[in-house]
Amino acid sequence: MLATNQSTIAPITAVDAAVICVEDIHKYYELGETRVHALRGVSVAVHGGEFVALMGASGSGKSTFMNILGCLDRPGSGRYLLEGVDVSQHDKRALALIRNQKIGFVFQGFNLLARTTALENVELPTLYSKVSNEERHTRASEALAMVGLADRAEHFPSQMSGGQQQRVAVARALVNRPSILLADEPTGNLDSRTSVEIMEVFQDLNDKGLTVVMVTHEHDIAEFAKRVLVFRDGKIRKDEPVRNRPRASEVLKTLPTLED
Amino acid sequence: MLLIAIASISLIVGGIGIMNVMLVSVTERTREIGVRVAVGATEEAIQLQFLGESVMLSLVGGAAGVLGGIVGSYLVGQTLKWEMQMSVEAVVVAALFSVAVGVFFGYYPAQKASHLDPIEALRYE
Ligand SMILES: Nc1ncnc2c1ncn2[C@@H]1O[C@H](COP(=O)(O)OP(=O)(O)O)[C@@H](O)[C@H]1O
Ligand SMILES: [Mg+2]
Repeated sequence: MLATNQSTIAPITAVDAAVICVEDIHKYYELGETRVHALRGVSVAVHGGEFVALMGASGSGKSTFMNILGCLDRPGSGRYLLEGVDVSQHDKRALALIRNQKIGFVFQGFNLLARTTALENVELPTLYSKVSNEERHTRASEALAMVGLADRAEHFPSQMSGGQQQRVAVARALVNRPSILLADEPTGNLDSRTSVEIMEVFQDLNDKGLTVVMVTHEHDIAEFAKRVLVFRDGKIRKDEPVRNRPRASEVLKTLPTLED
Repeated sequence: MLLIAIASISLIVGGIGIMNVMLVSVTERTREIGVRVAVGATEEAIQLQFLGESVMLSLVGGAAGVLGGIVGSYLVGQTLKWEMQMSVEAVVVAALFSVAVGVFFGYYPAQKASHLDPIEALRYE
């Protein structure tokens, strides 16, 4: 399912437009005298309802790619169509709006604001949207419920386990009902059981139709996705569907429980 | 003349103090800024947030000054048996100056905050 020439023929009118369509993206970093060629021509299409895992050695360009997908960065060359709209030439303000409305980003470190409650953390993106206070509250509560933390709304990050903090971060990513959920090593700071719990949340959201793209370097975690892309030296070297995909909820039953 | 000189020097010293506090705050909250930008805050939104905070800081300072002034003149009035007069204008001028100092000395830190690269800010330890 690599980007076919079909998308280059009629990018604007393509009705079945992929949620994400990148065409020959390059990215360079200037490091003093040297120039790092971090992405060397990446092309890929991700359709609605997919759950993609990005794998590859450290330094292969996964984060660089994710930051471009998340509109935190722009490609040096090439095109990025998000829901059929070319965002590679958008200015900063337009990109901020896209990040706010269309993208939910989850990081390896949970990046919650320490002095605010779970609910307030989840509300954060709505502060930059046109949303009434009432709506803000409802949406944040709903998002917390979606990740199974309805009863922790008033807790502070320091009162929660790593897994719970990451779920708050997922709820924050969902609060503006984005088109895609992006996660860069979301389980990188979590133990194996908690990691599977996060995968349960992702599979659950994906079942409800959310498109998910995540980076992981653990095979066990990538298996929970439907499709795996492998990066090497700034290029996608492998693109395969996952066969016999495990259900995280089933796997959890076989893992020993730890009290948190 | 002397009073004006003292007042301007205090304003400048106070303003530099505010600027320092705000610069430290921007550094300490680098990650927070990264998160806010990542979830959709524009440069203007970040700038406004930090300008607002520095104006708040400066207003608190202004209010403390006005309070100190009132208490001080009351005490002086009591001991010297002078007639005390409160001027509303003085309070208004103090408030306006506070806002101005907050904006002026908060501008650079706010600018700095809004120009952070979100990717680096999110990685900041
Ligand atoms: N801000 C940066 N400045 C310079 N080089 C960078 C920067 N970010 C990443 N790189 C380089 O780009 C390459 C890809 O990095 P990255 O996308 O972080 O890889 P991964 O996430 O797969 O570990 C690496 O060689 C890395 O050193
Ligand atoms: Mg990385």
